[in-house]
Amino acid sequence: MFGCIFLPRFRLQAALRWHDVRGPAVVVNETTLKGIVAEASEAAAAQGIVAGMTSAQAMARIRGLVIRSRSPAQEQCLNQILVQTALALSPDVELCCDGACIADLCCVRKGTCWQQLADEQVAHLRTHGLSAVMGVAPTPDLAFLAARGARPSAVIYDPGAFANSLPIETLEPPEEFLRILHGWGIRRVGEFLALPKMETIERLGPIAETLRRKVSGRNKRLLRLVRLMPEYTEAFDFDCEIETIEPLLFLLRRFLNGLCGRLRTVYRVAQRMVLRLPLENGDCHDRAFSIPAPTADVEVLFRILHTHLENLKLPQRPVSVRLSLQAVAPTRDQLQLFESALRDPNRFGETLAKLKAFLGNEHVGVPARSNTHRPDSYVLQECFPMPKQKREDTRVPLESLRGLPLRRFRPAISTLVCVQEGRPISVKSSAVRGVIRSCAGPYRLSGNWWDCECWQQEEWDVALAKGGLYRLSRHDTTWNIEGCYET
Amino acid sequence: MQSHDSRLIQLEALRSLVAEKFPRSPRRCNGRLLTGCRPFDQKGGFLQGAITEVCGSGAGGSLLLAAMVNAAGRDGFFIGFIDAANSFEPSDWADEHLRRILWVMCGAAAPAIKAADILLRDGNLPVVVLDLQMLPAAQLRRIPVSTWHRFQRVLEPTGTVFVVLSPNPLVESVPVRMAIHTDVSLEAMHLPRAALWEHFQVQVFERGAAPLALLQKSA
Repeated sequence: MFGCIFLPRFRLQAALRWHDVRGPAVVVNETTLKGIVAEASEAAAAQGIVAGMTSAQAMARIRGLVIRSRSPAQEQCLNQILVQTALALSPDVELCCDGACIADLCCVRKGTCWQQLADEQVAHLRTHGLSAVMGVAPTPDLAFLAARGARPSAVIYDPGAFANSLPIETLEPPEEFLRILHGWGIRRVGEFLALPKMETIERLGPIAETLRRKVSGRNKRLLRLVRLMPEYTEAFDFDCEIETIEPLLFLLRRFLNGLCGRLRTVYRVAQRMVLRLPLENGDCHDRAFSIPAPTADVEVLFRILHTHLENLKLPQRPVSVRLSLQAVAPTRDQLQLFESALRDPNRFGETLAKLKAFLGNEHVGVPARSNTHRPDSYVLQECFPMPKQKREDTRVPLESLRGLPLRRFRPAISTLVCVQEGRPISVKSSAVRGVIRSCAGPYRLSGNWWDCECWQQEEWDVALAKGGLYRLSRHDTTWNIEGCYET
Repeated sequence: MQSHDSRLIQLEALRSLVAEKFPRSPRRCNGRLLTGCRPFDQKGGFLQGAITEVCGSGAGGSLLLAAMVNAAGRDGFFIGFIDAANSFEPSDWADEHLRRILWVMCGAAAPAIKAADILLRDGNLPVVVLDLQMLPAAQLRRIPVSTWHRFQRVLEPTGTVFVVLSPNPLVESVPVRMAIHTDVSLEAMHLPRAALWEHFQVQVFERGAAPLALLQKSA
């Protein structure tokens, strides 16, 4: 058997997904100035609005008609949800058109009630806010036809009886072909199938055979399999620019509810989150969040976003929002039941986010030496992924390190230095002054001689007579106090 | 594969449930952290869940941080280092040491106190070091006394070792205060760091007491 999950009025559902619209509504293609109606809701269709009308004509027919433009981002999201739902049933899935997905149900356990299976899928998609229908039939094409007529699910056991009752228009024949059939008085598929096969093909051409195959219960064509990596993305375009954080948070929580539900369905957790806020001037605010302990917990993910947003200042107002999750399998390196690398890695991640929001990204991190001898060169690494706690001893013997660590003045303090016989003998600055009792140096450093960022300096370690160990540096004739070892 | 993943997710759910049903009760932690550095270990190490103030020599503070990072490498934990004056110099440290340090650059006393508050409330890092040694005395005097009492209350349930490096006695009613004195000279710059402790003397004072010399200096 094959199952087809179908989203009726796909474009309209996509455009209205995050809106609370109860009255008649239409979705329009904005490729032309007039705005052509692409799909109309049931209430709008009942009042005579059909696809192809201009939006002005539609508004003339219904007062208070809600008009939305198509949302390609949302349409993509819905297709992803549809494919993912179908992949939960079978690995062999075809996305036959926007909003329709066919799955080969040969892998489903024997004895499964098809009706119950279809109802479950419809109910599952309802949890994502989607109105879906599903048809189950012996062939892919019949399943698609069954789904289009299902309310909300239909199982076809007798293909012949099902096909006979269908209007001939459901096969979507070419217009010329349909006109000929209507001229012959043929209105139902059954009447078309009753015509002699060879003579029909001789008169109408190969299209007649194609249509026959569509409704044949024995034509199990090969599916055009979908092998897409499932994306976990939600997006929303605001009607007007937003100025406060509340609507954004409200939407993000709804996004996370849906996305985490999808992750849990396939036993995955989120490892990375990407938030994108397109601004009214065309720029984008992008921020990627690494999740310290990958999870599908809505609260944890929402707190990370909330912490970031409450401290965020944007130069322009956002016009839309997009949230993507990167899914991974749950971690396998299990420690003991109540033991993990950090006590609560996700809480630590939030703490780091708070610190970075408070002090700036460039002021918090794990330090590392940069690949140069240039003084005061370092890099701050992203704090995650933190290395796992291992019990092996990673101590560096203190014997391998010599001397006192420097405490650097940032910026260095400019100073006057008296020099005698090439050695500094006294120092005088706003912070430090005194006679130099002893000194060590000079330690000459240079680098980047091969490019325009060439640098060189001379360093001295000095001990003042009144106490205190300092590092002095000289660039040409300029002296600076770089830092101190002991004050 | 999926059944294995589902079991892991169930395990995570169980962990959350247990953590929710049986939250850790606040308790006073009496453990001590031994750094492997004899002058401090002989005095009993650093109290967990309490503030330890280390005042006096700036070089002593740097060496103490080195000893703590070495202990972090030994026991596999991380250290939060709140650098109030942005004076930490990574090039003087080994890569293995640097990997154990979360460096928080603040630039002044007020943000350093706020950063310490955030890190201590988190409770994930077993050791947090607040370095105030390079700050001017005027900034240090503006830190409200109540700050330290608040930190003490925050620390008690977490068992974090919180070390405040200061030039002079600063933390009121601190459980343990250590004073480091030194006569280190330029010759010491060629000695291994482990051997440098021979040039330092460490005194320990219980319950807020302070060495007279340092009190006179701060006055």
